[in-house]
Amino acid sequence: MGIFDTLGKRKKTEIFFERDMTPDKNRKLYKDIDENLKVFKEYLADCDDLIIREFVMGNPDKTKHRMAMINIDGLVDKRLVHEEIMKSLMLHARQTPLEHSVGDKFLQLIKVGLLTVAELKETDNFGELVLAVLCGDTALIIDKLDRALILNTKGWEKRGVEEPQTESVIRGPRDGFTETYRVNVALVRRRIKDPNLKVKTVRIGRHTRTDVGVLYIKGIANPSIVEEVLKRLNKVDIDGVLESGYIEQMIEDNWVSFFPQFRRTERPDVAAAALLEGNVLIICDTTPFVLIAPTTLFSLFHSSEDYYERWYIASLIRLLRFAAAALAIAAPSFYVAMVAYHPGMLPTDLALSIGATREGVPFSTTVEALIMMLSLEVLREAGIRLPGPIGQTIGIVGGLVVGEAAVRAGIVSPIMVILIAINAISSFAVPNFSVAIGFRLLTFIFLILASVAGLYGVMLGFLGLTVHLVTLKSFGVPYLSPVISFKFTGLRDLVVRAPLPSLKERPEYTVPVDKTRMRDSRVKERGGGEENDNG
Amino acid sequence: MIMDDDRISTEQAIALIVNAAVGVGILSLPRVAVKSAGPDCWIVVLLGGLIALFGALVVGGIIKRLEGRTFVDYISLVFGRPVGLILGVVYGIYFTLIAAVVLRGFAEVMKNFALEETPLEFFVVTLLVLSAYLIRHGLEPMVRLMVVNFPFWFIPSVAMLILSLYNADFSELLPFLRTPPEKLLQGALSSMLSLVGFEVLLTSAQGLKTVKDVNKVMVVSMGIVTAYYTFVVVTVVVSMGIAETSRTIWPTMAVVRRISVPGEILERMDALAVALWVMVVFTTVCAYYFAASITFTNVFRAREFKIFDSILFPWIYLAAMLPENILEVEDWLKFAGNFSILTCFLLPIIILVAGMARDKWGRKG
Amino acid sequence: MKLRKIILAGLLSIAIFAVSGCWDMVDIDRRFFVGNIGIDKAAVDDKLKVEFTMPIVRKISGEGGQGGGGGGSTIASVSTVADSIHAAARQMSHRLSRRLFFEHTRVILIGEEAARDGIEGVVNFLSRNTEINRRGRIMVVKGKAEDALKVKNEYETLHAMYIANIFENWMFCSKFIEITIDDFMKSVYSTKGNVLLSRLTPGKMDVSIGGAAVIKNYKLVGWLDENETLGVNFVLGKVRGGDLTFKQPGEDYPVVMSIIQISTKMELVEAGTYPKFKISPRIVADIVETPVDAKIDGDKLKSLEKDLEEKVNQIILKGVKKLQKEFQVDVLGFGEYLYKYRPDIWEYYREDWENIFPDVEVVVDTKATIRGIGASL
Repeated sequence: MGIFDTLGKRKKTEIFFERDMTPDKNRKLYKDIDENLKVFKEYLADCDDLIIREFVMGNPDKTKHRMAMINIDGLVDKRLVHEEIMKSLMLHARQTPLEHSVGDKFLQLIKVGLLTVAELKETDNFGELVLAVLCGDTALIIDKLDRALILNTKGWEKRGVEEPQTESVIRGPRDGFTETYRVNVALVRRRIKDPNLKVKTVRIGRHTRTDVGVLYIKGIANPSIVEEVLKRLNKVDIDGVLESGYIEQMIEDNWVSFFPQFRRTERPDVAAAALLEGNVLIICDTTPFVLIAPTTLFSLFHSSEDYYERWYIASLIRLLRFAAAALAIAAPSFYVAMVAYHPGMLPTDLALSIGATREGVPFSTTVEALIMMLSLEVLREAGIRLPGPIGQTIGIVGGLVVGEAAVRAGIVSPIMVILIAINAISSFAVPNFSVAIGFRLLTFIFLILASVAGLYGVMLGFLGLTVHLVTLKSFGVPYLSPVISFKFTGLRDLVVRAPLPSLKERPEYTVPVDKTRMRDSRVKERGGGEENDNG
Repeated sequence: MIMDDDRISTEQAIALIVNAAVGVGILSLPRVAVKSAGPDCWIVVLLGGLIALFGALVVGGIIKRLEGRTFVDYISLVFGRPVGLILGVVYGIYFTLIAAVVLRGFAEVMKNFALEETPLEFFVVTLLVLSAYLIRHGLEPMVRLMVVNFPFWFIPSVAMLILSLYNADFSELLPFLRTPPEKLLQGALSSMLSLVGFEVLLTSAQGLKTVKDVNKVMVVSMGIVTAYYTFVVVTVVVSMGIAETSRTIWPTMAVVRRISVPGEILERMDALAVALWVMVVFTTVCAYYFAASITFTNVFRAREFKIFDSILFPWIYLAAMLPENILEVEDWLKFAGNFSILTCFLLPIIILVAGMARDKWGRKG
Repeated sequence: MKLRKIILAGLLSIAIFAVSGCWDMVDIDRRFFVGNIGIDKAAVDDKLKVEFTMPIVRKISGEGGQGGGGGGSTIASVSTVADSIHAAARQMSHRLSRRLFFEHTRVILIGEEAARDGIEGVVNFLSRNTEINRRGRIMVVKGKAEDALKVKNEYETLHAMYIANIFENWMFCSKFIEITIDDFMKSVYSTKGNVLLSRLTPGKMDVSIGGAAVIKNYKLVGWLDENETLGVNFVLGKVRGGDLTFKQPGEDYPVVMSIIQISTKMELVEAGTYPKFKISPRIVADIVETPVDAKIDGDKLKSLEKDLEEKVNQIILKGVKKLQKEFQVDVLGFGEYLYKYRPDIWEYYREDWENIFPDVEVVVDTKATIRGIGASL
């Protein structure tokens, strides 16, 4: 992460503070190499990780081609610099007669004939040059030339493509996004080999200058959504973007809502599927979390595995998730409403046994539930932060020992412990973590409402929730689509997942340009044509 | 950006009318129908549905003639501006009144069946605040809410009523057709009051995407409402009997009180049923509140209807808190019912006829 | 600004809830779940003596038992003299630490004397009250309701459950009236106070439910015994099972039949000065016991069927006659049948039905079929 430190320590110089992130191109290079190096050192003064290597090209006895190679320690691939730049210019160049080539001809010679790096660029100003160096490229300044070369030698220490941590699946590809922008784009591109997959890169962050890519498939994604995404991204003016969460919060429709207006994923296959449905991807450098927009409430409950497994398994699992979500939001509030307001609803035996366990508990049911829920939140947070084995210990100590002790001590009733445990478990059965956390918050609100007005309070909460959800939009798309009109086509892939061959159309919510996802391709059992093949 | 034009499709218009029509009537209609026609109660409801459908088609005829004008503007066009304004105000008051009466009836039920000690004001204010917040967002989000909530009340209510049929006695509906015709008609008129709700479309007509389908909207929605209410009345009567139904203020609740979830998960479901019923009331209140705001906005030609959303808030609240007890609430309901004969039938017929005459006369002259 | 508005709204609603909220909140451990309500005539005045029983929750649960000292009854019962049931419940709040709560009430017992004075009060209480479980049971106690509530049963933890669950056995005997509070309310309104209720007879260690209390015009007028009740249940089509025992000529040991299935049809045969009804039950029965040496073949079955039919006819007629002659109250649904299916004829009888009913002619035509004969020939 050297790049951020470098930028952080930088003294303010004029070229880096343009609003549009393009470096100042007005400061042109000089012809004299010493002059150039002086300016360069001015820019990157007090940057100890800067490497400037001066050398003479070819045979030092015969030629007087002084050069300087500039890069940042740790951001470049050292092997590349040694083998492809230094060796080429210092050793292999000796076989080339260089004496007569000067000026442009000389530059051309180097570009075309000598340097064996894969990608290079020419520039005539300091702005681009400095920025390139900071991005991990190598700058090559040549004496007597007012142009310099930018050689792509990016190669910092990075994590390889690994299995994603947050969205594990049983069936499905194992690769996950990494922290490198280009790798991430490539992971998507590898799945969609289509010239219509467009990648538009925007630089965001005055200091971090993070690459943020907008990916979409032309001809599927609705142009107005793409436009809207780009428009909002271009409006962002912030000092730094360290994670896609920054982007998410800067460009979302409603920041008051508990509900994320983006889906986020670590899995390239999910990202590719989203693209195929007409969504827009926002890939942000330095984070493996990719944003998907627009999103709806229901798509947050969908997992990539739903489409890999057979349809009824997938449907059942989805139903389970929705049930779990309902439990996660409403279980404690329902319990409080029934125990404190409508005990008549409980079966007599259950009412008596709950009454018996509540006997001697000093707090009201609401307070009891709040105590349990808060301590569970604390446990969860502590468990996440601590390293694996200790985290588990916390879980066991907290869950078993403290829970059991609390019951023994008569502070909470055992039924409450069961209930809160079930509630917590079901809240994390929702595949999307940010939704799950949002639900945890809702649980508290519902609990308060239930303790004020019983089931009516719960219903008020539900009404308030639906009122909020129907007015919420994600990039102009109603958050509750497609359940906004009595049209049943969208219901095939919503709470259940219909057999794949019947999902002939893309979901409506992305308003895709091309709606058809597939043509009827199933082999008919009694089809005339197919049978001939066998005979 | 994409679906932001605040207009509703045919299906959504149906949802709007159904949600506006189904409300407090679920709980009280069986009593009203049985009181006037005894075992012929279901015929009364069907007849009421037919009458309501007639009114709905008249309203549909008016909507077709609006051609992008607001309802108030259209009346002004036909009768002149002063009459238009007066009628507009009448309609505005009517919508406000219905919203208030429905709210009050709801609060009474809540107090009786769920939370005895909680003051009425609490119920009225909480629901009113929510609806005021919702209708600020306009017609389309409101209708969207109705669509989203529809399965949440419709399926459980049907399921509960079916559960209550475990010892139903269908012979309660006998003898067949022994009620004198004039009583049937009278009963049809009084039960029709639970079935109206189509008049809210008058004010929201500008938000209709396909005006030419308005007759379909009316027929389908009145069909759904009538079928649903007939189902409610029949199930309540066959499981409670004629005599007890006619003596109970909210017979449907009494029926719900006797069922338990199969498998003894829940001992009884009345609190749950009331909670679900809140949704039904909420959508009705929203529909009328919205209609009232729009009507006043058109009358005063205000630019933003949100102003009237705020202005009407205290008035609805006050009107809802006015009756002293449940009997007065019943009187108010009756009054609102008679009012709706005026606004849903008489006035629309007059307006439609006058409009047609004007068209004909205008074309010749 | 939007943020400020939201914070303001949040604070305001929290304040509203904090200041005003929780009017109705009564935690489950602050309530007494009344299981039985017993209603007797008080010794003084016209007042009622109302008795409530409720479980002592602490003593019921296993764990609580350790702390609660184990001993003593798990059921508490309190009684008070008041004008009405509701008033009695209110009076209790002077004496009890927790609120009385009726949503789990299973059984309402009316003492004989109180029932003779009239049960309008109970009916009114039940119709206005929105708490009491409509699937609970209501019955008349032979003697005092108090005595029935004093019985210490060892079978169930809850006294009310003990009584209410006896009704579940009606599959096997059909000799009492299977009626819930809901059915009671329904029929008491439609017949204007003529209804049959079950009879409960308290014993020393247990109670027994059998027979019926005949309520006429909201007042108890008399009792039907078990067999008469069975006959009435045959007419009402409410028999679900039960045994019939009779002796065949020349045998010492009786034949026992178990009823499997029954359907009853009622029809009007003649509408003269007094209408004539025909009741035709269709019975399917199994043979449970026979004399040891009985050989069961086709002829024997025929004769058994014949005897069974005869027996059922007798039972029904006995029950119907008693209601007609002794109590003169139509709880058998004859009037209802006319009203529903023959409204024109009903017009003719309606005015004077109370006087016509005792002289209604009833014929019974039972058709019995024997299906199972057990595991022996």
